[in-house]
Amino acid sequence: MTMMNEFNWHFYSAGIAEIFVMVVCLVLLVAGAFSHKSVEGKFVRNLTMLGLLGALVMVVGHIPEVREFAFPVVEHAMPSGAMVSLFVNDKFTVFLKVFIILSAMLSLYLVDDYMTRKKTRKYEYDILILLSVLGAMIMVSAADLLMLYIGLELMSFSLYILTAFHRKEAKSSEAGLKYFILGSIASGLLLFGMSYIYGLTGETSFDGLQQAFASGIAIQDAAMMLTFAMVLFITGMAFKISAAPFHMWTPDVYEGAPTPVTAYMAIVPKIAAMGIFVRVLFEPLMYMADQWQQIVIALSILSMAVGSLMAIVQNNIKRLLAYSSIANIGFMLVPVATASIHAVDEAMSYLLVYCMMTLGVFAVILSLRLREKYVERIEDLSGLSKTNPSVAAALAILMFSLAGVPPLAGFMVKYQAFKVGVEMGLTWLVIVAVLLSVVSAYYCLRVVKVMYFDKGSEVYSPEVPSQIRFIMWAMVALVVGFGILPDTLFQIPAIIQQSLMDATTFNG
Amino acid sequence: MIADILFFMFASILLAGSLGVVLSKNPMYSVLFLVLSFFNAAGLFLLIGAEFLGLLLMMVYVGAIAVMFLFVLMTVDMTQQDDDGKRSPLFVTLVLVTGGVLLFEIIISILAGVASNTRLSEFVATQSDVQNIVQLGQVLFTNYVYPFIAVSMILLVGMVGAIVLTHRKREGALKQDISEQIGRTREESIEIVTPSLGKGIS
Repeated sequence: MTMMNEFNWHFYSAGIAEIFVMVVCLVLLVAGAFSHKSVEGKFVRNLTMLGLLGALVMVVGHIPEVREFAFPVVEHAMPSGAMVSLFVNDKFTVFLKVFIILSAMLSLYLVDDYMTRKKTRKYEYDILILLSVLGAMIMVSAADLLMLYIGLELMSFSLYILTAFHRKEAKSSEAGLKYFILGSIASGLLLFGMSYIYGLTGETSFDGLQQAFASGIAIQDAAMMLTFAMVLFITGMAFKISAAPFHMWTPDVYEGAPTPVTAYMAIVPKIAAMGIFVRVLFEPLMYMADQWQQIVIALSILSMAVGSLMAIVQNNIKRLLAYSSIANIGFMLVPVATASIHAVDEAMSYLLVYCMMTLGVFAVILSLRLREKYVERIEDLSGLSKTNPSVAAALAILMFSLAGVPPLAGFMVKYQAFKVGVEMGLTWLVIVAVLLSVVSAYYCLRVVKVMYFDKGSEVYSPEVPSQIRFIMWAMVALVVGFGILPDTLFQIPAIIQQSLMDATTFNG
Repeated sequence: MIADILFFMFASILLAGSLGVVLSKNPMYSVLFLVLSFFNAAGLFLLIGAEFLGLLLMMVYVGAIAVMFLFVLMTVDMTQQDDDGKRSPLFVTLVLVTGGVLLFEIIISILAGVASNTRLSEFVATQSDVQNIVQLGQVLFTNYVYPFIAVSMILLVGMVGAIVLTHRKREGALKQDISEQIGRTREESIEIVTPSLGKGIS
């Protein structure tokens, strides 16, 4: 009790970036409300960028060598004497946070042109993005089921609103409502699973759960109920990463949401949810690996199959990307399904490259307008190679990468993911994955075919805003660069995997 | 002794109120019965020493949810629908089955409670000297300050969202602009005219 009454900065210092983003959100809300109408958009945008940059500096400026904890629950100590914390900071979270903040900044650059043309520019957009980044950061730093849930909800609520941001368009409102209702059901399942886990083990913190499972008491007494709880938990998480069979919302929401929001939604929530999913599977639930391995294998196969097969019949490029993201989550889950912590870096590097490709494709979509309307149908791309050869080349490279054509980054990560799958003895799963990745190559190459071999007569609106062009080419450069020099790509995930492994040995 | 009397009072009014919710034909009466039930349930919570839950029930359910029901009822057309008393057999079986299952569960749990000889009061953590509002406050503002603040951010998102999604500028709405009112000068608001004799101002 004495410790509780003193203010100890050490208890909070690891979470400085989150505190900073929180304060920036509040300041910006007031600043936006009081600034003049003509400047508020730009003003809040610049401050948001500064805020994200500040958070990035704080995250990068302090890379912990060993795991750091913040916000300790003082009265609740582990048997080993270590304090239970709500917040954890290690290289894994630093990697994910840098990744989240950079993606959010880049996706904010995509917004300006679109919102100005549609005349729906509001300063709240930036604040909602910032709040969802805050939620994602809280989520990846969670060391407790409670914080995981709160971060997830903060991130999702902001996304529900952003999806319905164009409230005058029926599609946008419909997508927002659909996302909200289905997301709430998923959160309910997640919470139900968590409450069972808490009821059976008496723990919500990851460390506590790991010890409870390690001792085996919990597993013996209530193995059935624990498996049930875990299934519910994984269902909730699978919804958030849109893995089949919990993918139903993805195509509709991707299609209905304003395109810059879709770009954001295809990246940041995926990073956060995938990151924490991996952490939960390999930290608290590592002793339940036998049970969750089957579930993850099933999720992986279904996602690859549904994503690859359904993408073939899509006509809308945003829906196509939605199915492509489902398929890619399936490929990403192949290394996770090995239930070996040595495969985490393959999943993470796949995530990294998937985000680059997706961001690049969205930059392309946002740069193409036909008769002053944004291109959404795939036929509209016909003849793009003649009318706008540079954009066509960029999209072709990105699509080749999505299809997994060497020597692009998309191939390298797929190859690594499959290789680790074979090494860990899941050869049959990898064979299925390879076959389905051939199927997924079809829909990627169809886009290239439409652009280069179909005749088109339409003239595209010529000017591409410099910010969008920059993002497009930057992503193409990264995809090509990492394809040629894959070693640099795998270095960072290898480090974070080490940090996750340290954590599990430290406690176990 | 007094606690027992209070318990039976609260419990019987709670049951009567709940019956009233289901049986009254006028939906307005139903909502008012619901409020009555909430109050008595809150009383039961107070009796077992869970005063925080009791107050929460009063503030959230009576103060917010029941009032919202009332608003909804008042905005909806309240013309009474004729009830011919006929129910489809499927509906009746469905009601009987769900009701029966619920009743069965309640009986089972009561029997299990009697068998294991646990009392309801054991589920409520009561330290005799500290009220549980104080206890909750101590935990929320110290150990769990981080989730507490994070939850407040979620509420903020809800507020921002409601405004973003529903607020619109109305054309022709009159709005007070204080700075404009204060900034008026004599020159732009007053004109001095000298009307000629017998003509007035035209």
